[in-house]
Parts: sequence; C-alpha cells; structure tokens
Amino acid sequence: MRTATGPTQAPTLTSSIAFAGGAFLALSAALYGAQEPSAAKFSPPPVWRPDAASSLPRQYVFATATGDALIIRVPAESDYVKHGGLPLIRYDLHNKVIPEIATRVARRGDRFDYSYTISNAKQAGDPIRMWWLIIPAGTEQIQVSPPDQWGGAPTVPAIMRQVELPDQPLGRSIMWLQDDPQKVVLPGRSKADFNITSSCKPGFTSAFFGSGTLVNFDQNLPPEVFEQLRFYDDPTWGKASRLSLGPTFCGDVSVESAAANLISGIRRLIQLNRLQSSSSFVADALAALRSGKRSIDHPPTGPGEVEVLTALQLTLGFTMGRTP
Amino acid sequence: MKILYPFILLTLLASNCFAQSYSPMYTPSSSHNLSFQCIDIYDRPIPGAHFTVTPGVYHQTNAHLHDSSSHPFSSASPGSGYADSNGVFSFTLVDTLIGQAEFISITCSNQAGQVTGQFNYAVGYNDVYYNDHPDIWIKIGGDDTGGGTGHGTTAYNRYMTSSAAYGLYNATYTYFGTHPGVSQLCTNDMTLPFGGKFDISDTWASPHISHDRGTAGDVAGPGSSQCPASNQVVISDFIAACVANGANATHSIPEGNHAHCNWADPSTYPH
Repeated sequence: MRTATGPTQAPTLTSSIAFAGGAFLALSAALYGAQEPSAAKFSPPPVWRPDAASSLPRQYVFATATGDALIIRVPAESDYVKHGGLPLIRYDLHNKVIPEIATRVARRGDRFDYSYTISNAKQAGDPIRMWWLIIPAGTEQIQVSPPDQWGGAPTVPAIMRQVELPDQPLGRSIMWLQDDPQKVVLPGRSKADFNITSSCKPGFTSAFFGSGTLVNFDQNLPPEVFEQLRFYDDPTWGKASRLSLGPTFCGDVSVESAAANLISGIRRLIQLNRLQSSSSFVADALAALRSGKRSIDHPPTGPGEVEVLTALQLTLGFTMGRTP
Repeated sequence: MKILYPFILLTLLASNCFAQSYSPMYTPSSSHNLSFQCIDIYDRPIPGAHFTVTPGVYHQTNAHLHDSSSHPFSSASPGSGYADSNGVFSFTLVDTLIGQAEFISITCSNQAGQVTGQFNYAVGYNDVYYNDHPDIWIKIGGDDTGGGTGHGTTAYNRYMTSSAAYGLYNATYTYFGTHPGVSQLCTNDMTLPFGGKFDISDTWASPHISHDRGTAGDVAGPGSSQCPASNQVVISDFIAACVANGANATHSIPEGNHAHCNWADPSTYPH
C-alpha cells in the first residue's frame, strides 16, 4: 500500500519590506506587478441569439441576456444529437441573488474580530444559501463562527479570483452555507453574525453569493461543448460578487502590498459610487497611500469612508489630523 | 540463440518468463515503439531472423476479479517480420484502456532453430496512491460492503492522484466545518490500484469513465444503502466543498445517491 504525498503549498506572495518614506512610491510600483493578479482567464460566453447557428456556427455555449442561464446549442452532427439528445439545452444558473454585505472590524489584543451582515434585496429571485469570502493563501489559522444553524469553514487551495479587485492575487475562501430552506436569506431578508477572528489585518477582498443550486451538466455532451464551458470551472463564475473588508494581511504586513490593496479597494468603491472621488477624505487617503504618509487631514463622512478609515488605521496605523 | 531488449542488457528468456511485472508501466491508450534483438549463443546478432510477437494478458490483475472471452489487451503491429542487419525487429505496441498486467511473447527463428522469450509490462498509471483516512472516511463500494462490482473489496477502489487525494481530503474538512456534528462520511469509488478502465458493469467498458484516471471520488448521500444515514452528505454541499477546494466545477456533479467530484476534465485523459 502506498500513501499520498503532500500537495504543493501555495507560494507566499508578500515580502516584508520596511516602510521607506519617499522611496515608497517607486518600490510600490515595482512590487505591485509581482502580485500575480487574479483577473479572469476566460471571457464570458456570448449572449444567446436565435440566429446563432448561422451567425456563430462554431459557438455552442451562450448566456442569456439576463445572465441567469446558459444556453447550449449542441452540434447537430454530434453523436449526442444523433442518438436523441436535445439540440438546444437551457441550464438555469439560479443566480438571481442581489446581495449586500456590511462589515464591522475591531481589534482585540493582537487579533481582529470581523463581523458580517449579509442581505438579499427584495427584488432578488433566489435565496442566498451559500456565500464565500476570499482570504489569503496560506495556512493562517482563522477562527470561523457562523450564526445559529449556519455552517462555515475555510477551504485550502488559493484558487478564488478577486473579481472585485482583479489586480490582487488569488486567495482561498471561507465558505458559509445553510441547509434549512427556512433559514436561508430570502429576498428582502438579512442575516447577521457571520464572525471571524484572525490575526490577519483587514484589507479589501471579494465576497461571492449564490443560491447553492448546482448546474448538473449532462456529462455526455460532446467535447467541443465542454471546451467552451471552461469559464465555468472558475469557482467564482456565475456568483454575485461584492467588495468587502476581510482578513487580508497575515504575518508581517508588507506596506506596499497593503497600500496596493487599499488603493485598489478605494478605486473600486469609487467605481461603485460608494465613495466619491471628489471627497476630501478620499483624496487624502489616496494621496497618503501613494506617498507613504500615514495621516489623513479630513474626517470621513458616511459609512463607506468610515470603513476605509478603519482599514487604514488597523492595517497601516493611520491617524487623523494634520501631520506637523 | 537469445532475444535481447537492445537497450537493456537483459536476456528475456532467462529472467522474465511468466512473471507479472508492473515495470515498465505504459499509459492506457498510448503507443510505444519496441525493439528486440535476436542473437546467437556467441552473442552475435542474427540478421534476417524471423520474429513473431504475440501480446497477452495476465488475468485477474489490478483488481479486475471478473473475466470474459472479450477481455481486451494491447495489440502489436506488425505481429511478425524479419530482423534488420543487426538482428533487431521493431513493432508498435498499442495499449488498451484497461489497467492490468500484460506480456508479449516473442519468438525469433532461423533455419537453425527458434527461441521464445517473454516481455512483461503493465498498462496503467504509476502516479495513483492508496487513499484512505479511516478517522474521517468510511470505505464503501466493495464486496465487503455489499457494493461489489467485480473489483474486490473496498481496499481496491480507492486510489487517487496526489493532488486529487488532497482535494478530497480538504473538501471533507470543509464539509465538516460547514456541518457541525458530522465527523465521518462514506467514500466510494475513486480508481483501481493502477487506474485505467473502471468497468463497474464488468464489460471492460464504460460507464464510470470519470474514474479511469484517479482524479475523481464519490461520496455517499441520501439513498446509499452502504452508508449510515448520519454519515450521508448533503450532495450539493459536498460538491460545493469540492469545487472550493479545486475540483472541476463542470465535471463535479450529483449522481443519484452520491456526490461525484472530479479534479480533472475527463477529456484530458483516455477513457
């Protein structure tokens, strides 16, 4: 009898480099590109159109315009169709969740308490039964405390794509789920107290939400169809993503990595209209992160800015007030 | 007269007769050019010697404890011919999909006489490993648990590649974490000891194609008579745990009473 050997450990992407004042900007730029961004490897499928057979004769996989289903046009000459298989198949993705996520982060000694409340808009068409939060690659012990009768646990390989922050590296995840249909997050409802305790300092990360209903592809479909379904093997594909704060910087914090993450998150919040680029606080924060300064002159206004300030304070030791 | 495998100083006739060997091991559905040399008692090559090569199979190997007259094995082409000026005869061995021990019987002859040797090898994968963790997994799917498919006990259906084995192990712990109180589940078919066709219908053919490589594992859910109810998983949850631990999302699917997780696309291996 033989026993399995160990898997390859994910590489550690961060390096600990002392904060170097004016030299920071150049150093940051150089290392920023070394973070192995997690941008998508595959394009999404084209939108289904009734004339697809003639206009896109070699395209077999499509998405509906609303993005809630895949349409498979099986090659007519395939054995699958010749043996009676359907030439056109619709796979509903059951992804009509409209999530929001709110985060509270607090320092407790040398650890950080993260607490999440998730909600599902009343216009949603599916309940939230599962959700995932990306955490850094590695073996850092992270204590997961789900709310009553939910389950939560970390995964191991760093395969989750930072959809909200494509310049950030792949991570593993904490997976939360609920099996009782009465306790899922129905449209118009929310659930609080998804708690994490970790020594990892806060940064921006991506969260994903789904109904937990699987797509069960017919495994007898021809290879050319599966060839075009490769995007589906991205475990983040088809799930609703949201920007969040989470345990991001474990061990020695690399200042440049932390700054890159925070800049990326602020930019994304501006894109999402959750922060205003004209805000004095936002301008201060971006300028400080780029210059290596660790203080902000203008106070935050609104919950988004408070969230950013929390991360700046807890991760990089930012303070409020003019630097003398 | 002797037959030599030209790149190894080995007299096949003397050392290798009628003994199963799992080295070399050839990948299922692959092909190999093999050459053998015919030499006389003074170790001189015999140019133009006539060769015949006849492949065969050892029965009941790699946990195939069933048999039939249609038992497939690898083929050699050409099956006969004449040695070149160095006494060497070359042919192509096309391997079957079945993981098993096989042999080629080789005869060379001239007007002075003939000699027969045997070349033993196997078809399968040498990168699959016995994969069990009794503290967290209950073995099912063998003769000993009422799930026999002609492939012996549950000791024989649980081989995996290293990366897939760790994927299944990690998925198990993710599942435990998301299902407080569950600390053991039932693992069924992975692959046979050297992989290759896992013919659960004893026909040397599919179904079960995704278990031909050691990248897939089945975990019992509701309706499995071999697994205690308290150890049956919520199938969709276990598949989600597999996918979050690296399994292929397109090819990890519910299959009746079990979760089927595959850490590879079956199109990447012969089946």
